[in-house]
Amino acid sequence: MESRWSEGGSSTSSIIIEKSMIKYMSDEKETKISALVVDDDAIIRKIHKTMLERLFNMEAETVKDGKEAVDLHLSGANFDIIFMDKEMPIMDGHEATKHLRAMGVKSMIVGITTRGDDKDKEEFLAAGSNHCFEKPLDRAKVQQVLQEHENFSI
Amino acid sequence: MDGIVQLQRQLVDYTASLFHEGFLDDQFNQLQQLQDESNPDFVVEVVTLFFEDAERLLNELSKALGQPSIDFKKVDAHVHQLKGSSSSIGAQRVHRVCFAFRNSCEEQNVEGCLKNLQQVKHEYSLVKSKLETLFGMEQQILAAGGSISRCGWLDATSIFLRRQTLLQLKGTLILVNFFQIGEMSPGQHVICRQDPKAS
Repeated sequence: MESRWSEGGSSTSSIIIEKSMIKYMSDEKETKISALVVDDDAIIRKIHKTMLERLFNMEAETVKDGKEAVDLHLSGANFDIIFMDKEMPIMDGHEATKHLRAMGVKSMIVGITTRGDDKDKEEFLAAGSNHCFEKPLDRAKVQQVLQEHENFSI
Repeated sequence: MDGIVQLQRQLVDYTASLFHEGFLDDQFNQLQQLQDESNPDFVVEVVTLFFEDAERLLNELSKALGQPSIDFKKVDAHVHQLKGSSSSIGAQRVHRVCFAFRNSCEEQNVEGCLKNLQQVKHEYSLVKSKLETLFGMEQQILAAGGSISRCGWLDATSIFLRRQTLLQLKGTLILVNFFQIGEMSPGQHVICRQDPKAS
């Protein structure tokens, strides 16, 4: 049986929400990957947390700057992946990354910058991050990180 | 029932016009895709944060540029923030003016900065009122008992797979936001309806 599709229509009642692609994208493993989003921008925190949870089935927490991220680890918290903004007040991203590495934190750290040039990237990688991406973080970038994460031992 | 369909069509057309006129870009679409029944207000919440942030920054910018001796570093920092938050929600035209604004800052061009401030205020108020209209239309549909859906991020394969699913939904209006299809422009919306005569 073949059905025809036409544009427009009249006797219809509702629009359907289809999320199959998103489901397809998400990680169905039983143990969720834990993520920490470090960003001073409340909009970014909300978007990134929601994206990691909805599209990748992660468990995401957020903090406002590098120092809060370091403090959280000092109090015993641990995450599989840390998404770290570059420019933040109090303690910025590459500095926090250095601190975390010096503390022996072995999480995967993903630096996020607003600048296209290589300076931020080099700083981040030199500080011990595994990746560095330009904002905005999107599905493809997270996927790239996750592919590596599968082989990543903590 | 027909009233709802008409509202839904208006919403589709209006949304498409916001993309075509460059007010919004793909990032807004990405936000819409993160919204579902379990977080139905996500987009409104994010956009509200943007409004608050933008208004605070525009005030700061007016103040900073009203000083007899202008601290360009401070102005640039504010513009940088506005650039970031406008790109986070996909407010493309605001984002573009921010680029020019940062150049004026770098050149320490007072006149340029003042002109850019007016432009960015103008673009901000436009996109704000457009988004409010959009949310108003969505509310109207929900209040009338209709629902809203978006399924962006479709490629050829997923459209094929999706069609199999959609074929089971006889006589249902489907709003598809074809996004990553080469021959269609971003944000283009298509309403497909299964022809009742076909089944």
